[in-house]
Amino acid sequence: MAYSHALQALGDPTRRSVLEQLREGPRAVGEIAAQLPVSRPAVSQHLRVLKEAGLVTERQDGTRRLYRVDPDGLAGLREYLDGFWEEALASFKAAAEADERRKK
Amino acid sequence: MTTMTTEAITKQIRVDANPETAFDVFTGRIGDWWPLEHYSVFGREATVAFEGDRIVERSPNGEETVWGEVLDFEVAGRVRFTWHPGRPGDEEPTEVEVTFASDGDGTLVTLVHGGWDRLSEERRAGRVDYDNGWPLVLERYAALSK
Repeated sequence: MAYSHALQALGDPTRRSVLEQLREGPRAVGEIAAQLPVSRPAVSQHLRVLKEAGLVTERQDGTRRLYRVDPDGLAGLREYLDGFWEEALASFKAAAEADERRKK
Repeated sequence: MTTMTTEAITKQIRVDANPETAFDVFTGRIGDWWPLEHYSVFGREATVAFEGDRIVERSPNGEETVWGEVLDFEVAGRVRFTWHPGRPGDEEPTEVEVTFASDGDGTLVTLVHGGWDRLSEERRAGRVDYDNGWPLVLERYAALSK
């Protein structure tokens, strides 16, 4: 359930602020922390949660470690919807068939 | 972005009911079968209905939210609507089309959920809003399915 991890990760306002910043472009931990009223280790911790939720990726750029929004995050949403439509249509089928039986 | 993530989601199901009944239950009685307990903005006590050219969810307290706008409505044949539960329709909605085709003594129902290209473009441009929209609806789902 990658998507529910993503939802839990986004339940925290500081993490949403971190993600907000990353939407503007890749950032290093220090740059993110400079814009927030929390410590650098705290930002690192938030980034780890976002990364585990599949919302953020990191890469080494020379001596700096840069974080960015994961462009494939949409895949998790689609996966979820795929299962969702299946559930909705099964429920619809049962309702339509019950209706048909009533008419007969 | 790979094409895999932007292709439409397609679902097909055969229903033992004629196309008229199937269409009528899908559009006219969506509130009877929609899994509101898993999938709604206001939760299991909410109602949902096609109201004119909109799909509207209402809470017991009278709040309302529009899931989509109906684009095509061909009785016993096809319904097409924009799809943006949990967020305003002007924010790049996806689109759902449901067709009802006679299949022996039943109906073949095909649902296509598309418009992902636009969302992906938004995503690439970094403009997808994480605070509204799908996460709001899905958060409820996540909470309920714990």
